[in-house]
Amino acid sequence: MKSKRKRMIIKLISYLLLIFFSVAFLFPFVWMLMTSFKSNVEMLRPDFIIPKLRFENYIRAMTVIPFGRYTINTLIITAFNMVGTVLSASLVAYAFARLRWKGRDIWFVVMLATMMLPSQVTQIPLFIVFKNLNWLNTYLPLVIGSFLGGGAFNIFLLRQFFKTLPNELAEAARIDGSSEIGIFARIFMPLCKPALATIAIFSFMGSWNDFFGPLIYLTDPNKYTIALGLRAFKGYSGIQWNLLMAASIVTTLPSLILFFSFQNYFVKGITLTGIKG
Amino acid sequence: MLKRFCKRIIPFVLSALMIFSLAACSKETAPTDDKTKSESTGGDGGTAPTTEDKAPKEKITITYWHIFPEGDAFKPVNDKLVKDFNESQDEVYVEDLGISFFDYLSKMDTAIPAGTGPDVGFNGLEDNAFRAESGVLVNLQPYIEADGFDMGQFYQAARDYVTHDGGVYGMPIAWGNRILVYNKQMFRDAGLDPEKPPKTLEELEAYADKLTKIGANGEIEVMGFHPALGNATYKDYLYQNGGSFFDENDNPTMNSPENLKTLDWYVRMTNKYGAKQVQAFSTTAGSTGIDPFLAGYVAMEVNVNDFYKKLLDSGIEFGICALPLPAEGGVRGTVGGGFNLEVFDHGDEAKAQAAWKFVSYMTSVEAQQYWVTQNKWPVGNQVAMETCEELKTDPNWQVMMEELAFAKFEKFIPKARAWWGALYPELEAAQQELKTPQEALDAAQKAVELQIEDYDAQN
Repeated sequence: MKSKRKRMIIKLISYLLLIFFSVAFLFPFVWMLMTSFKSNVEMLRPDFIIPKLRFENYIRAMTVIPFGRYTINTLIITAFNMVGTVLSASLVAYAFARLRWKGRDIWFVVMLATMMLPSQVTQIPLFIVFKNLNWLNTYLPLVIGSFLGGGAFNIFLLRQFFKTLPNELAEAARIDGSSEIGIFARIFMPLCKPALATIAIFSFMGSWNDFFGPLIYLTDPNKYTIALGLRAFKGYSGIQWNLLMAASIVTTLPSLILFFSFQNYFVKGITLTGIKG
Repeated sequence: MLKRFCKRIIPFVLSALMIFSLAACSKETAPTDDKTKSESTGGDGGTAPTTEDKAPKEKITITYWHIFPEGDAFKPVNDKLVKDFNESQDEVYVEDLGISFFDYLSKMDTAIPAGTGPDVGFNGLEDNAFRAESGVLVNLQPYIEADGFDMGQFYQAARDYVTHDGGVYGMPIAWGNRILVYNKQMFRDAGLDPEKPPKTLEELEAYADKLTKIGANGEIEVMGFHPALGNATYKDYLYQNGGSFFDENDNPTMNSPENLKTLDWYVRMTNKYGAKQVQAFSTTAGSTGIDPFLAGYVAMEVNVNDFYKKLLDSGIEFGICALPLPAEGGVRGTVGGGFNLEVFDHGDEAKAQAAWKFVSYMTSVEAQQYWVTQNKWPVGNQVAMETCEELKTDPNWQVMMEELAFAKFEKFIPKARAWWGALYPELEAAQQELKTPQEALDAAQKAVELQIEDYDAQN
């Protein structure tokens, strides 16, 4: 009886704590939602009351900038990045985790070292490389990286995952006459769906929200992405917070949908790899 | 349940993404078809699309980067001028690109070293000297002489910003200096005459006391005046007290008696109504970018003259006047600043010639009058301002034009280019009463002297 009550109290405390943290983490989003319904002047007052629900903010935010075109452009870049990252990062990670070759560990450390380089250092040299390739004002600089390994962090994450899988699986397949690529594609890839979903989500978030890449590489407004388009509300003539927030809410929706769709895999990926997202 | 949902939704999302990308690929390969052209107008209604007409091959195409992206309030006027220029030309075609003001320099900073910058840029007047000195700009003087273009039509201070060693490195397009704006209704409520704004700093303070409203809980509801709210800093009050940052020989004068007098006043006024609340007030205003005067939190504030458009749109009954001067020894005129059109040097004479045609058009009397009347943003061309009929009938414009004639030019000091960076933290320390104004200015003076010593040692 006593232990039952004790368990109840612990449960109650943990629920209260969870509610507290949920509210704390949700607060910025709620604030964003509230601001999107206010006028720009009302926004300055830290009230929780919205004097009037201004749905027209959403219509204006969608029409002041060519929102549809920006969305399509962003989807193109994001889709290529997701596909590229999943394909190339898994191949590289497999090679680092399961294949034996000379200098493997040294190259792995070199690859990890690329994570230490701040992007500001590589910004201008990379820009000059893409300029010489005549790729400026195209989507290539924004997507090509994901087909060439997909980023050190993703490779690292997948490598750790591949390492946890038992070697016997590969050996059994080899005995049955499977090639290395067959083992990779038929056995290891299906087993690491949670990790693949995790990097797909990371890749989606990264390229959906990428602002700096499109800013420096694109010079044709018809090719702009949403992240770049949103900046129209923050300019020399002032900041239109209400429109910015309305447009941001709409922009966040695909991320939310995708997160909830992949949630099952995503959480599994985190638990299995031991890496917090 | 969730698993089933995931199973259904994932293939859907992925296939949708693939379809989009395929559609996009085909769209990318044919960017000039009619459909894409009609899409390029976007949802902006009245504004002219940037890629509407393709440049015929025989024309020289130049690129023009500015700070008015899709959706910006000033974009339609800029678009119209570019469109008019393109239509008037059979030799030059301008392709423009609007980038948000806050990202403009990031894009420029990458593009210029890589040699992919624009032919014409809408850049700051204050740092024109820096770019001119680094050799990335075309000296426009030969073109000015060849065309007989009269630089005398620009305001002196605006002209000073772009003239270095006899060369001209930019054409002042839009600029301004500081004005005091005040809320006429609040004046009436406080028993003040709305047609008699303060003329001296002493009057300003007395008015501010009357206009400040303190609520029942002791919190300030309306602040009469605060020197840093709006668009002003210490430097905007300095020249009026006869102060300066450097003397004629470019030696720093950070801690001169005039500067000390200004900072004493500035700190006192900043903290007059309770430092903490003022700080919270100015932080909110600063971080949100919403103007406290427009939000009804201050009765008087110092702002730039391109604020006029927002004032007119606000519905507030406002007045505009010159910045009040000290009762004794006041010097009229605040520091001017703004933008100029710069031609970037890509080693292509034909493009430089074409770019000159465009910048001289944009800063001509006719184009500048269109700019000022539509954008309510003063222009660099003084003749355009003074001969514009619309401005002649508006008393507010008369006040602003009178002030513009007194605008001060802030010289670029190559030996101490980071002087403001050295002074600013000291001003903050004085405002927060961590240092006395004297200590703060002495420290700033030392820091700037050190910069000069470093420069001399390296050069």
